[in-house]
Amino acid sequence: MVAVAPFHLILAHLQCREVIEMIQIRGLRKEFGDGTKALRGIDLHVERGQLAVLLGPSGAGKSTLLRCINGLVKATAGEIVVDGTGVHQLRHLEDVRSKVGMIFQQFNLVKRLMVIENVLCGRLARSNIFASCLKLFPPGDIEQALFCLERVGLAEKAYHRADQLSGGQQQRVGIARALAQNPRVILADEPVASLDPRSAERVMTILRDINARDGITVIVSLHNIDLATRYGGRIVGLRDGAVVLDKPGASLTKWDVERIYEAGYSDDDEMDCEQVRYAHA
Amino acid sequence: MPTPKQNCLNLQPIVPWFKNTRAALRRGAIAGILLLVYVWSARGAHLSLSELIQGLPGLADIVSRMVPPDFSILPKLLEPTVETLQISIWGTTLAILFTIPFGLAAARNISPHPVVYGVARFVLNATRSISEIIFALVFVAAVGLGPFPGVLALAFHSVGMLGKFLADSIENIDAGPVEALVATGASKWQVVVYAVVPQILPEFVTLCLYRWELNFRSATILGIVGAGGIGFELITSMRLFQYQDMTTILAVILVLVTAVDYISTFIRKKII
Repeated sequence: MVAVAPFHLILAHLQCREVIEMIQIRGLRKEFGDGTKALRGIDLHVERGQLAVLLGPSGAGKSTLLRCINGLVKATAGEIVVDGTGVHQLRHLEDVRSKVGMIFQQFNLVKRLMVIENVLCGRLARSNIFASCLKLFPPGDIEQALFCLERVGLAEKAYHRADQLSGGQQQRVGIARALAQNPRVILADEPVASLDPRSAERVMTILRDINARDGITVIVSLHNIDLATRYGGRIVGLRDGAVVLDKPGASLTKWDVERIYEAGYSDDDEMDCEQVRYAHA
Repeated sequence: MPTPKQNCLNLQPIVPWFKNTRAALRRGAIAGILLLVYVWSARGAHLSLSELIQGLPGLADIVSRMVPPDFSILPKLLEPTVETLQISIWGTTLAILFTIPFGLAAARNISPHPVVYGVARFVLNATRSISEIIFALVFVAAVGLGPFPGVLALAFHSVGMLGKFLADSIENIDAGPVEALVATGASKWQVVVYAVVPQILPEFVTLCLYRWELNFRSATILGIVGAGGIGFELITSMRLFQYQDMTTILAVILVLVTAVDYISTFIRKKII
């Protein structure tokens, strides 16, 4: 445990920044039961309406960091404040979560439910618990779910079973589910890693559109550098559980990339080129 | 090119036994222990081929007295047969109702507390290990003769198996959708209804139908201890040495068990 300043002092300190900052992370550490140090002291502030890309190799701590933000993973030490609410305050956890939508690499839809039922899952936190367990929703919620599906271009699939959809479509349903929460923030954990390039492009375009039009703060973890530079307004490089880089996406240099991936990435890249050369020779 | 035929006289183990003496010794030891266990059990159980042979004439005598079946008692069998079916329906339904809370509590991934988990697992193991006939004896003593103690006996015994399988299938669900629902801020019951139930439902329905088949079979013998159903007719005709009636009853049981199997297979196919 790390000594934590009295909460009212922290609040006073935050008040001024809260207006512009959606997510404030200070000294975040996470050590798993087996001794793995996934996060080694992360300080990160994300402004309202920003689209930030977490870039890094697998095992860098991207997923853990995202899951700490909505409390799916309990931090070992450090402070996380989302939209003015501390995630460490367990009483408010469901509150924070309802304001934070999440998108997963494996989509995590309930396959045997209809698409619209999956989207309505995003409304559960604000639904009456008895009615929702009987699968009854207010008409407004159903209308909103349909609207969210329209946003991702899947309105006509609303009454299909989720497992009848392709991977790219399932991920768009995942986005619609997050949208149905009326979130302030969307966390996307490797949203395109299981998709073909075209579907990946479409999913990233939708995320950028949501960010630009609805002003929802988006944090998306990627390991594809090309996608990161094209979509990321801001790139946060993560390696071995620490932030090693933080700059606007457009200004990413080859040297930056090497710093994130060390020798691994550039070596592979050059080797591919050499193989091509040999093939032509 | 034709494949040369394998010479059956020139075969050898993948690893020659002398190269792996420890494995060979272990195999020999296992064979020896198994042999000892069988000999020991045979003595305890008075296994005797000569007694079986001596008993054959008696068996032939009974079988000869069992045929032809006396179908004149069929009208009399209608009521206990229907009762058997009714016992199995309610025994299974009550078991399913009891199973749901125990199954949820005994699934490690959604159980509210390790102590609750332990207690639920213990209850399920206990009821599973006690046969329905023993339960029937207890409930006949408690609530009196008739079909109702039979219903209770089936319900209590079935909970053990249904609950264990329900808990196991909950533990084997894909954790992804559960995580996704927790991430939306949904409460625990909402997560169960939306992420757990859809994943386990087909398996659980199949299981309940299978349990119904087993329960119907059990219901045919509950009458032997006075817990209702066709088993009572069976034991009565046996005690009165009316072997031809007995054949008829066995035939009715056979037909019904087959019918229940067929119905449950039909429902299962419709659902999945």
